[in-house]
Amino acid sequence: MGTTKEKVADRVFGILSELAAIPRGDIRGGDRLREDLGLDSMQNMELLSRVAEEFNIDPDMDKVMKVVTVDEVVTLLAGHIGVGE
Amino acid sequence: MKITFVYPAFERHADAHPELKAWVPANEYIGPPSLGIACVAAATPPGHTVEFIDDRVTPFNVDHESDLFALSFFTPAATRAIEIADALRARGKRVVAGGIFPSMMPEAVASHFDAVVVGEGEPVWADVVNDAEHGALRPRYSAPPADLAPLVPPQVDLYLGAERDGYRPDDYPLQISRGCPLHCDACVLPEYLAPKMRFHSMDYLTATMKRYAAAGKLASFTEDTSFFPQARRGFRELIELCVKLQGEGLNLRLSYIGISLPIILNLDPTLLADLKRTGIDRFYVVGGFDPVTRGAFGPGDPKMLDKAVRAIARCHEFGIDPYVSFLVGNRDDDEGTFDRMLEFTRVAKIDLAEFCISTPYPGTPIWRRYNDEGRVFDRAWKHYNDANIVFRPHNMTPERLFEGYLYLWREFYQGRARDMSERPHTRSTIQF
Repeated sequence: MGTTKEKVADRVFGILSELAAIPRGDIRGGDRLREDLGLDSMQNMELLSRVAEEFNIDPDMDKVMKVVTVDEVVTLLAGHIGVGE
Repeated sequence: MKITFVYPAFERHADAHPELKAWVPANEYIGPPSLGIACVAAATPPGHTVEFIDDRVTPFNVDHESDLFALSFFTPAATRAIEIADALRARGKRVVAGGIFPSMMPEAVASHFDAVVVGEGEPVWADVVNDAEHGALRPRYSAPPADLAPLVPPQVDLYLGAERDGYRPDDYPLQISRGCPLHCDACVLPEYLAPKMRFHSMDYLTATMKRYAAAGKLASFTEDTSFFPQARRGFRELIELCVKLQGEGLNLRLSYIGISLPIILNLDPTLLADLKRTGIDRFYVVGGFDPVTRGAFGPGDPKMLDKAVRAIARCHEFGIDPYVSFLVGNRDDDEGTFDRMLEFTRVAKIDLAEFCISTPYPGTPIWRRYNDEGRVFDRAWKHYNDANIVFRPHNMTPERLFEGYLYLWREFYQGRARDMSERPHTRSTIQF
């Protein structure tokens, strides 16, 4: 089974739950990583690093620095992988 | 032409404050030079001879003969570099400046040198040599960030050849990438090496590691950026390569990785385990750069303090020795910061540390901000070495910050003489 945007989202939510110590079900796509989930910049990096490693991609740091919400993380990574809905 | 590269000397903590030698029961480690000269020397066009003088080890003799002198230096060495350049030019010699300080402050060195290289040296070095050969050096060579793909490995044999009795570094740095997209207050790298990350090839890294292994030297990874998203996958491949080379019988040994506490705290456990598998047994941790340690030591935020303690515990859990460099004098630091730091070392069971004064190095965000705020009162570049106060701190007097810096060194190492004397070399040796 190939990678889908849903799979990417699943991993993003899973790692976010671990890093932010928030139950997975409490995380919403529109949540802001810093303001709503309390992640600092290094935790943002770790989130992106882990998912990027798992899906074998190297997202450009210029773009990584600009993500604000959970949905934007998923869209950035899915765009690199080249998967849709 | 004969080209002489010179690495000018600078004062270390114990040079500036000899009382530290009595207080700190550790062996003093004089590390290798930064890689700049070795990288530029490797880019020298054919037909020229190069030599290297490490002024820290063999004080430079201004009567030395050569056709071209190239000095590479960072801020602490700028005073000595200018002194050497002035003496050489008084003899009619041609002298070129390069490295971090000339790149950030070209106007401060221009009148002392025939030419200043601004930026990374490799892209323009052939032009500099060619122009020098034809007596046509230009005052300034501005280099764009280098394309790392065609670069040949650094000529580290120059450094190995400069070793002497009493100066034989255990390890030499392996540069994995250049550039950083972050804008940390006290760091010059995004300005000097540009924000965009670039990566050396595995062939380049392999050749450098093999040279270190052949010389019996350890390789150190100094870059926190290796753990960033764009870099992580390549870094994991490098770790795998190290394990493979070791498995094939190469005497490749790794000493430490430069890293920050927030990264340790959040790092994928499989990567931590892989690092340990290569033989890495030390993290060189700078505290005072990142939000966790700034929060813990500045306002004394208990949540941040807890995070910092957990990060150190994680090092211990994986069998990695955390050697912590504490940076004091940051914006939120006050007179309670010194004791907060010491208490942290006790709680976290840190048994090897160094203490540095936050310094606004030219080219960093705090250099610009502190100048705008009129805080910088000392421009004697030799004082920019993490061991002197060159600016007015926010929440205490310069004198109190200086006393606190000495207090940290004295208090941390008090009563550790016997413990230190019983430790192996690597765990009883620090740079100070």
